[in-house]
Amino acid sequence: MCDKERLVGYVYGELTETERRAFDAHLTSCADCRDEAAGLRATRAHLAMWSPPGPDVGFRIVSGAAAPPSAPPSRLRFAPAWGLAAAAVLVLAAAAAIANVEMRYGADGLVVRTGWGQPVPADASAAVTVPAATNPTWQADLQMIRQRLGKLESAVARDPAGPGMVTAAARPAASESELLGRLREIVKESEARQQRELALQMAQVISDVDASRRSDMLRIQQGLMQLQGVNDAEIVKNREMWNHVLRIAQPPRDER
Amino acid sequence: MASTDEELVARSRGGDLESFNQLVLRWERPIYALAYRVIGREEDARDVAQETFLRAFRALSGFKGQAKFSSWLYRITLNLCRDWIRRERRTPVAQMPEGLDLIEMAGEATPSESIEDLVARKEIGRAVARAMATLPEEQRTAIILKEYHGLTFQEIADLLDCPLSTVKTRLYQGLSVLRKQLDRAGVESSFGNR
Repeated sequence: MCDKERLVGYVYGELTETERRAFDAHLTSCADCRDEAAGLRATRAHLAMWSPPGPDVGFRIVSGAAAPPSAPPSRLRFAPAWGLAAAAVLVLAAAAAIANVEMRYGADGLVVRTGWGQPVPADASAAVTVPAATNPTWQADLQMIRQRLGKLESAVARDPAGPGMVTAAARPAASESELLGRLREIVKESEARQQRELALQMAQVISDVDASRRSDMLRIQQGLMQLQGVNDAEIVKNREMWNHVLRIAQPPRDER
Repeated sequence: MASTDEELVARSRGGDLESFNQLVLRWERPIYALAYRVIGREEDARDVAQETFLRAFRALSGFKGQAKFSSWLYRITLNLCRDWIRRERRTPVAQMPEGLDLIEMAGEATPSESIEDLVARKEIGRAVARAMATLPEEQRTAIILKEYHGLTFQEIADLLDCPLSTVKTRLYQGLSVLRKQLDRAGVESSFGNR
């Protein structure tokens, strides 16, 4: 049985000079080892023809890389798209709540208006005219509040000594505290309604924007596909032509 | 004159990031090639190569120069490849592009190489990749380190923590299997001697 470790050392040129001479001598008398050595050399020649694809590497270590080893590989450092979208919606909602945003999406496109930067109205009635003009429900509520306030004011004007001295004819059916309680309830209901309206408006806007975006993306994609089809056909045609030119430019085998 | 690996390592350990990036530039292709040949997937090989340098950078203070820097990188890469193979629970895939494009290939041809020889070389490369994918991991790794990275038997033994005789046996067995596979695939043994 021949020494295969020595055969591998011989094929890879890792024998000492003495060992190599001894193995050469062995090969002259052993046809199996001779064939095997030739076969393994040919295999090595084939292995040399396997090259990896040209990598798009270009790595660089930046100073942030000294982070703790528990940090995930860079490919995982990106948050998923749905997470970013959810975060964006949350930020938008929070900002809208803080900034008193009014959003509308109509024929004139998306209109966003915020309460920031608007001048403070001179009186209470001016302060309520903006939302009142945009929402009939609010307008009705505010009209009712205004009427009740008017009644209170007139009652006080008729009897400046105080509500306790209001005459029986002028006294409202409910007491003043009940009236104020009712007033607070109405304001509270109105606020809750406003919040619901705002949430609905935002949901509608998000849905409209999303539908519009999908439709735009579809149009762009269709356009790109058409363009790519034309380009691909051109490229294939050019490559076929060049391949043909290269083939006919090769001298016939018997001339080499 | 370019700095040696040892000089760049010493400067990197002193906090010079640019020196480490020079080492990255010097070794990124061999490391990528090693990872690609072991696991057979471009994208994953790129991730492994990137992770190799990141780990090397973080562990640089622990590298005392007892081995060559390249051997240390190879060890990290092979460990990551082994993790990948265990995690994915699969053997490497011979991931080769379909079809041959003569225009693209013309750029890779050596000046004396004809188009026919170039096509033959690429086809043999594919056959080799497929045959390599069938080898057990230990034999494949030994052959890759020997054939494509030029390590000596002793360096491979040190890197893989195994006796010298084991390395030779793995090489012999691996080469023998490859020879049979390539013969079966109809690869002409005379091609390399043209």
